[in-house]
Amino acid sequence: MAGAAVKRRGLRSFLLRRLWQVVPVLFGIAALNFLILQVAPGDVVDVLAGEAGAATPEYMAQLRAAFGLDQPVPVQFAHYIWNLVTLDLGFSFRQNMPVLELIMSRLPATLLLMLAALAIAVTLGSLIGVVAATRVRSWVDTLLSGFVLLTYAVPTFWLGLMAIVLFSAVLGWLPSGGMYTVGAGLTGFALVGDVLAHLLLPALTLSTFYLAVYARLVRSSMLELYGADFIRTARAKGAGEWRITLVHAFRNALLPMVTMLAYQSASMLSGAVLVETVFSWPGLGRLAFEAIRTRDLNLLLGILFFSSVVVVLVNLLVDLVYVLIDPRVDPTARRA
Amino acid sequence: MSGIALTAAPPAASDSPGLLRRLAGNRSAALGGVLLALVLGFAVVGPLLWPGDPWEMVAAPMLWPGEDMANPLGTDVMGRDLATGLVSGARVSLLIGLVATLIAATIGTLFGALGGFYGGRTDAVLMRVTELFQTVPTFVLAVVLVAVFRPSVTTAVLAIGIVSWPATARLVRAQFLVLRDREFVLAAETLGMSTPRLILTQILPNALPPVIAMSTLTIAHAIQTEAALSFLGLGDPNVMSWGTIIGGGREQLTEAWYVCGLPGIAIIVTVLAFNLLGEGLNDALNPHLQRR
Repeated sequence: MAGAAVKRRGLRSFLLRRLWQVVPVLFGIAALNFLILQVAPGDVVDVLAGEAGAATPEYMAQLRAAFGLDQPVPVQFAHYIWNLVTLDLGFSFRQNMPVLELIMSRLPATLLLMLAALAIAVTLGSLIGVVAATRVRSWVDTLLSGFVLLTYAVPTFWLGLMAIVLFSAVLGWLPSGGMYTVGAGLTGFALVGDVLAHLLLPALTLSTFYLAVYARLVRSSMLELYGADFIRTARAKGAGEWRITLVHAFRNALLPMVTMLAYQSASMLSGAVLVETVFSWPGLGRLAFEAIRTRDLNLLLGILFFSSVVVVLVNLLVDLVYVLIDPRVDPTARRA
Repeated sequence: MSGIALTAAPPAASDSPGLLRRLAGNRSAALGGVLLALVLGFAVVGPLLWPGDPWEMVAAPMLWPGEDMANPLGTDVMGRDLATGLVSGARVSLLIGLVATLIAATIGTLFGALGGFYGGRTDAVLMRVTELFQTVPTFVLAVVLVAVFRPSVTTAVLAIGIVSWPATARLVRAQFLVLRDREFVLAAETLGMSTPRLILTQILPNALPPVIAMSTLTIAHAIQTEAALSFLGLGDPNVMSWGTIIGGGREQLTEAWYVCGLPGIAIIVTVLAFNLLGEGLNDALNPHLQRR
């Protein structure tokens, strides 16, 4: 039990240290945003306030003062950083709402979509990977490698469009867009079912690529593990083939998948932009699409900053999950 | 434009004669080569078969493929010929994919080479920047860049190049870390070779083969990114690309799905070609690496 206490204490300092490491990354992201604003054609305020006079002259003047455009660039940068630190991402005149509020109102839908896609990808991916690994070089295995190759090549947004054609237009099984049936006034379980029906196609579309990645990953790590000593030991002790596959090999094959997850949170957010656009899913991606349509650049920059922050937080979370599920990881160890 | 299409030939023809044979013997590389030849042929010969402006309205709108042999692949909602559009898209995709990859490979090689060679603080700073670019959702960054600097072929190429280099940087850095301490490099250093010459003539040529393999994969990804950008309406307004056609066909998706379908198939074939070729190149260049 003493070990657990040590680990818990280690976990806390680990968390604090990781949180501290996040600061320079956030600073870098802010600097990148500022750099884009600096090299952008026109004045920073022109870009921030959106074009074609959507902002009032008063607001423009106020913004110019806030940015201190008459002051040297480092001072402007300090202003910019301060705005971000105080979570002031500006105001969207097209949507008539503060950018942060807009983003926060759309975030839950995106998170729901990403989590659903992730759940599908992890479940189906592991299933396919395990089956392929237990039947190496069988037709299942060949089919998997073909499927993986194909999903790497298929553009997500195109897949979504074709899914709409098949499942919604031709077969009429699922709704083609939105998050719930407008005007149906559903409540309780009916509403949940309605949202799930709307969620299925976008989540499946977004998950396809990751499903393939996970299937391949699980397959190769399972194959590697089959040769490991502890599997041989389990076999020698008389454990059944299924027990070995699931309890011994698969449990360990999960680890690289968690690592992969951290790498892919950024790419999944990118994918969500396209999938949400195709399915009119009211999340961050759809908001980005609306911002593109109306040339609301400030909103777009806000989304870029915010989604980068989300990626940083997800990475942090994955590190934490890693410590929790892999007892070999020592949170007190410093990076070499 | 056709000159650019020609240079998109597989970068396999390097100095060793064994490489081409090895590539031809590799199943995925051979298949990739054949698919790429098809796409290149389409881009080069296409304008002769379907000359004209892809934006011009030439026939009745929404003709299905095969309905009228004057427009073998049909027309879109504005009556524009799809075959002409697809040819234009092939040239745009190859051009943007290639130039963006060239930019990404250059930035990546520069970062990786400097970091790997000098190590220490230089390496730490360069790697932090690389990590930063791996944290930011790349497609969202590309969208912001193109939107801020106005959609055009140039901004698309630059934006895709800017978001695609980190993987190359990491690869080159790893290569440099290994090669830097090898005997032939130390020998050249002992002979008094200047640092730039050491990097350029001794280490870089030996670090390049895997970079070429990775760049083939980068082209594939760049082509997908370009399609996604123009699908969102961030393509060059004067250039008909595959993504533009798909974006335009969305409104009539259910009545005429082929307008979105055909360019998508073109993207899949092209991306598949580069992916297969890259995979094959990887195997051929690292014969010791056993594929799992």
